[in-house]
Amino acid sequence: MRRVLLVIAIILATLFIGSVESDVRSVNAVPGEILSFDLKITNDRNYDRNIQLSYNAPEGFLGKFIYGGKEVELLRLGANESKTVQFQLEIPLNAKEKEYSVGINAAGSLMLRINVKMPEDPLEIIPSISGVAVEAGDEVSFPILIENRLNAEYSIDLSCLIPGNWSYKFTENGIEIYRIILKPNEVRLLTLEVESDSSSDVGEYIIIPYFNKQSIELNVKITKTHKGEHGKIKLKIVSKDGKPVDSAKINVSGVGEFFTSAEGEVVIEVPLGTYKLELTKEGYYSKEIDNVDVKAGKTTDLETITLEKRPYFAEIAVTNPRISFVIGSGNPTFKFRIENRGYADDTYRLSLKGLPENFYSKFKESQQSTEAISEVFVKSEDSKDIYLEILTPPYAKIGVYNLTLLVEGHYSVEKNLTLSLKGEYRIYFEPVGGMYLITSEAGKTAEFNAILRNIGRGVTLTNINISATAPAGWSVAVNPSEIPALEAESSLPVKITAHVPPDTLPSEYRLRINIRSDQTELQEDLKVIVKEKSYAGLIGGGIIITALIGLIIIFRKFGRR
Amino acid sequence: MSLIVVAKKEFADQITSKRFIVILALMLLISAFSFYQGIDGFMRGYRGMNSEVRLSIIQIFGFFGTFGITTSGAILGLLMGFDLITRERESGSLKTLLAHPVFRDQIINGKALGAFAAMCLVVVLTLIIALGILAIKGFIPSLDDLIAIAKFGLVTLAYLFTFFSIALFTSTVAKNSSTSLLVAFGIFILLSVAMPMLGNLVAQAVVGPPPNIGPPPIPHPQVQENPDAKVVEIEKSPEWQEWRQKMEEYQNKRRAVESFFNIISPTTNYRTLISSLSERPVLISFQSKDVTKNLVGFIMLPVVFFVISYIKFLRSEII
Repeated sequence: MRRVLLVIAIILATLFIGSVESDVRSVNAVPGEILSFDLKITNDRNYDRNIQLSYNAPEGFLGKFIYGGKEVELLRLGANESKTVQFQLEIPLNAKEKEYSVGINAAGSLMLRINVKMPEDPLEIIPSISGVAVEAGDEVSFPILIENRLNAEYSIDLSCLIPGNWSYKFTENGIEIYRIILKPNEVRLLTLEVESDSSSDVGEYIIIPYFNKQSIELNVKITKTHKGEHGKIKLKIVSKDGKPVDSAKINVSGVGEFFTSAEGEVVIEVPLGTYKLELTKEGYYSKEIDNVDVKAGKTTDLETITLEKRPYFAEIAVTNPRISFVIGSGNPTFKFRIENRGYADDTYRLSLKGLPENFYSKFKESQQSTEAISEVFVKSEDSKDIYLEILTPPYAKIGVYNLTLLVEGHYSVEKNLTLSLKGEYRIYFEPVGGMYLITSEAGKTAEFNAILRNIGRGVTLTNINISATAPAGWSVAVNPSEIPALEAESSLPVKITAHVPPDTLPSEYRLRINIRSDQTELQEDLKVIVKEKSYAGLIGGGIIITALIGLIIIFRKFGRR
Repeated sequence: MSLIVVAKKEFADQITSKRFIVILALMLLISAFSFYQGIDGFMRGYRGMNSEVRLSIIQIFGFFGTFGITTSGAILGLLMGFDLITRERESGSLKTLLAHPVFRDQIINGKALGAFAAMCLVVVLTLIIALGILAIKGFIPSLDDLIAIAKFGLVTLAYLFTFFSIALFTSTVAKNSSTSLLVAFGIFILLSVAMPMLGNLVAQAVVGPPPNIGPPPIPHPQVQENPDAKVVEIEKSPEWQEWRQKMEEYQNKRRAVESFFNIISPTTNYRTLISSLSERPVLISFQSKDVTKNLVGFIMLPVVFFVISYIKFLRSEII
């Protein structure tokens, strides 16, 4: 219908105005191309007249009339005068490949035929390198020169066909690109960067980069595979001021925890895959890093990562977190250091939890100090040594006491302390009234009444055995000789009976009392003075007197003349 | 019968002489003093030793014998016999005596018997008083102790008789009492003092100086925890064993030579014999356990002197 109307219009224009002519009636074009036609417009009349210039083109086709370098819509022609006007027609980029008709109305009418058709190879693609040999996991760069053969601008979508698990990107001047527009006959240098999979087997692989529908074929030869090997993640953690952060924890998802060295560095060996890293360090804000790709046999270098310090943070280092102490031998003292690791100064309150009844504690700035403190001010990045003295009651029970040290400031820290109180094993044996020495006679019995006392601290003495070592022929009985247990600070009467043999010479004799328990032992000496019998002096005196009387008798008998 | 008469006469003369009484008194005093000392020493030793060891009180007698009798007993024996014949000879009573129906052997035997009885009196009296002192101090001797004391008395009696026989010998051979006394004391010193010294010199000359090796050095104990263990370790070392063996060999040789001279010394024999009576050696630490040689020497000496005296007296001319 539209064509019929166009034909009628052209006929009417021919009949009443003049003529328009062109040497070119039919052209081939590509979308986006700007076509230029020279139109000769003639005024058939013998008078001047204004000629209206117009065109009739499909939707999207843009045309304009240029005369004398300027766009014109109305042209004045003298009688029978002819002028040449340039008609420019821009083919839309989205024009389909087919033949289009464009009607020109200027004194007459003219039909132009536009055959829109895209050429087979609008681009000329020239790779500098078409084959590269690398190890699996390496990255390859292919410089590719592309030229637009069209007279029109040409938009190119960039893509690439690569083996599985490989990756690619197009770059131009270091910038990753995926689409470009080439001006007519423009030449551009692109780089195709292809990263191979480190698990790729040894062999030759084909890479096909696509520039719209045009493509070329490139080759990558893998000379060494890292299949089955672990990869590594390398990173260095520093604080904001550039100091390395040591002992920072790196939690690698699904793998485990790792810590940085004193230089803040860590190299973690993990199976190939993609990981999430969580970086934490007390006193610092934690940081997460997602999608860390690790390739077999390759090191993924995350380079330097900065952790930001918290304003308030403290660390407590206890020199002696476990103390083993004998009750009654002084006061156990813990030593600890408060280190303010935050970037702000802080004041810390000191307290202790878990202290049993009758136990007391005292925080001091030095071991010898008698002054107790309850708070301490520590500047940022500074530290302070504190002594915690535990005042134990003299008869504390032995055992292990778990204490909690609380250091509370803007940031609070708790530390577990263990106080192991040990008992003192001491036994005491004393005869009642201090009677270590008893006088007796041969044939009689010496009896000691003594007290056995557990003077140790906090411990029960068990399996106490009391025996006595006496001179030959003596019989000694100890009652009781076996005591199953004797609690601390308790005592027991002990009776020791020694029978002095009748033929014992008068002298001082020693009874050695041996007291043995599972925990300790003791020896004490008791003395028995065996005195001569009361009649011994009489007998002795009688013997001497008898001897002297006998001597006198002999003298008298034999001395008589 | 004449023998008994002479013996009684001699016994009476002995016990009534002022010299005997003085010496007896002196001896009793010395004995009492040394006995008290012996008791004290015994008690000290008794307390110092392991209380499980039972000691015998004969050790008190050992001390008493060594320090109380060896000198005073010897002097008593000498004084009792040095003028036994010379005095009779000097006073002329020997001729008078021989004018009676009595034989020379009866005279010398009777005199010896009388003197022996006086010595028995001394010894018995001393022992009885010693027992009295013991009883006063509370020591009631057992039967074993009494037997040991009896043995001690016999040995002491033999000791006194040894010096009596020496004095009898000098009295028989000397022309007067003073010579006899001098000679008797000379022999006493020779046998009691000179012979042991001579034995020592001869042993040194025969055996030579001790081996010129010192004991192996004792390492400085670095650990004082158990010094006993260190000592045992040292004694087990081959160097120490070798040194000890050589020193023992040397001492045995020396002792063998010395013991030959000591057999002639009654004092040494007496000490050895009374020491052997006690269970533990208190005073003579290195005595030989076998006292047979000492016993033979101890008995032989008075017998020899008495026999010589006997023969000399029987054959002598009475002027």
